[in-house]
Amino acid sequence: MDRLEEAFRFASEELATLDPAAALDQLELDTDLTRLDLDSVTVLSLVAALEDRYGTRVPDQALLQVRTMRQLLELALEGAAAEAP
Amino acid sequence: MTQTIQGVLERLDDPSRASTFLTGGERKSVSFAELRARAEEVTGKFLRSGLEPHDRVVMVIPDQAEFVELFLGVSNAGLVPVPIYPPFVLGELDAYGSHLRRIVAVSESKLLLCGPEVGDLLRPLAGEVRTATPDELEVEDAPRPLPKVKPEDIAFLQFTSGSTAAPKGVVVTQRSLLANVEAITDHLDDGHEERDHGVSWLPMYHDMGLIGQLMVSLGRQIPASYLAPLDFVRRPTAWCDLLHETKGTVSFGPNFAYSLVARRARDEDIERWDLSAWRVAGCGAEPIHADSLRLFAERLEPAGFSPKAFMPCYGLAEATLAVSMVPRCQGLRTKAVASDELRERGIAVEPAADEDAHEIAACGPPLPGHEVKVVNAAGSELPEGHEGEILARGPSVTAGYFGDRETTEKVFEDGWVRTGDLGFLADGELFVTGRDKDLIIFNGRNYHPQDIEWCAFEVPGVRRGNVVAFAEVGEDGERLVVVAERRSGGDPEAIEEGVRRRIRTVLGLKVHRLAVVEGGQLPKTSSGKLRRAETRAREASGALQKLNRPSGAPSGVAE
Repeated sequence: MDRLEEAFRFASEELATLDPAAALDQLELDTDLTRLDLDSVTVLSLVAALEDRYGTRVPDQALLQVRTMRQLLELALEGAAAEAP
Repeated sequence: MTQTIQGVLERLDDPSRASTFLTGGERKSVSFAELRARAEEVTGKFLRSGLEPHDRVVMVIPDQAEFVELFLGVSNAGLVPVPIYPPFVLGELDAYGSHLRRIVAVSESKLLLCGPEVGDLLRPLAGEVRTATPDELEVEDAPRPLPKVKPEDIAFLQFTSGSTAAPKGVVVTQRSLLANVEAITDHLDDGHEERDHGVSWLPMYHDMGLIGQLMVSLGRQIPASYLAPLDFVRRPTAWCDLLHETKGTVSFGPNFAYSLVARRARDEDIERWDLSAWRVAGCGAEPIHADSLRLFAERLEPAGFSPKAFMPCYGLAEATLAVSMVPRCQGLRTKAVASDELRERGIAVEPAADEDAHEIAACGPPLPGHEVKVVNAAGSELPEGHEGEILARGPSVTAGYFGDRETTEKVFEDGWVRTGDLGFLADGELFVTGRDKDLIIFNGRNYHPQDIEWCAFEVPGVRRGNVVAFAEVGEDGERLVVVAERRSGGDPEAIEEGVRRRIRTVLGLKVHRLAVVEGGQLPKTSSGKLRRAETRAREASGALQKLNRPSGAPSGVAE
């Protein structure tokens, strides 16, 4: 499976656990995350889960520029070992 | 004890005790002696920056270690720091920019000092003001002399997120700052200071982090560890990891931090932790919910957490930070009061067995040298057990709002500060019941808008935490108006029906008019608190786009 797609699946499942009430049925790679009603705790918890999975660190400032799930996942995957899960 | 930050800095000399800063898994320890050297280096630079004594400097410094050096160094140079929060995740940079420019303007700051990691981001938002990162600061050859900072000088401006109007900069003087630091330090002291280790994830641009943790640690050179705030939000359990690792003894947090950890801590975390050294778990800055503290204590008891460590506190920026704190080793104590009696007559009485009750946490007696009284609307002091506005007096009371004499005169009088909060005294202890500015009165009964809003949060489709309730005056008295944001996809008509039914069944109140709006429509303060007055104004003027069918016209409009 494509790396990004796999990460997307993981992130969607994480989000559903973190915020069971979020409207994730319409979630796509290019959905504007700011429209999802996620609070900052949820967003950063998702970031932490991605960091743990891929062994990377997303800089706080980079998050300021993130609008979509694709952008977030690309940041989280950046520099991850090629064989990471 | 000294009465200035300069004096605190001059006394930092211990090479063996340190402040430790943790960010993104990296750790940096700076001994108190070294911190002083670094801060003095900053001072040297600012004495050549062309800035004059008392000039304000807005500081947006995300890195905690860097913030501490700069804050001390800038203060020592006789300048006035104006610490504000850095832009946050999933940036709404436009809103941040206008907030930033407003604070620069209100504080009449001469410099916007940015951390290197946000310099490029903030420069385009800064407007006209001189903007630099510490490395970019242009300096002249000849330094001006080091000024002797006086107790009556301004220490810093604390911008509050007053839930209504525009940002207001509280003028914290050197004297009020150090008075509060000393009162808190004495209160926490159990005679074994040598064992103490402060732990904090609180942001330094917020009074509880800056004063309650940083300044208290520096005042007596008590070692402390600082976790980056965003790292706490990423992994709330990192707070307890750090307390465990450092055998931390004193750590403060708002109510929500305790809830978050109670929810997130896994069994294996709790098994691993030893939190038995944690003797002061301060809780302040937002209303205290006894249940969430109890849940935390229950969950973390196997890790050696003692419920007696809880120390509920009350305070406000206008009184520097703390006004009252529960004495050491008493933990959470609460009083159950009859809801109806409190609401209808403003009296705190024990509920009968079958009566609805409110549980209110004790926030302790006023700190030594400070006074608290409760007054009615006419300003007369009320006896114990009667609810009214809380007023505080003492050496920690600040000098008012920067450049706003009118508001200052309204809020500060004869040494007293009107807190705008409601509460009552019992056995000399303060019990906080709500904020009176927003109080809603229906048929002679008082309702706190929070109660109505919380009620609406439970309704499916409502964006939790994003409901505003207020009253408008109609021909027949006050009427309740509610504005609720929906979660994306929520059905506006179903939400309307649900909210009306719930408020009716739980509080017995009729909603006169209800607006369901898209997420993000409600105006908020910089710290994310809802602005009720602004919401009311927008709702009344029709500026909010309603998703549901209109109901009940605003007052003044024919129905």
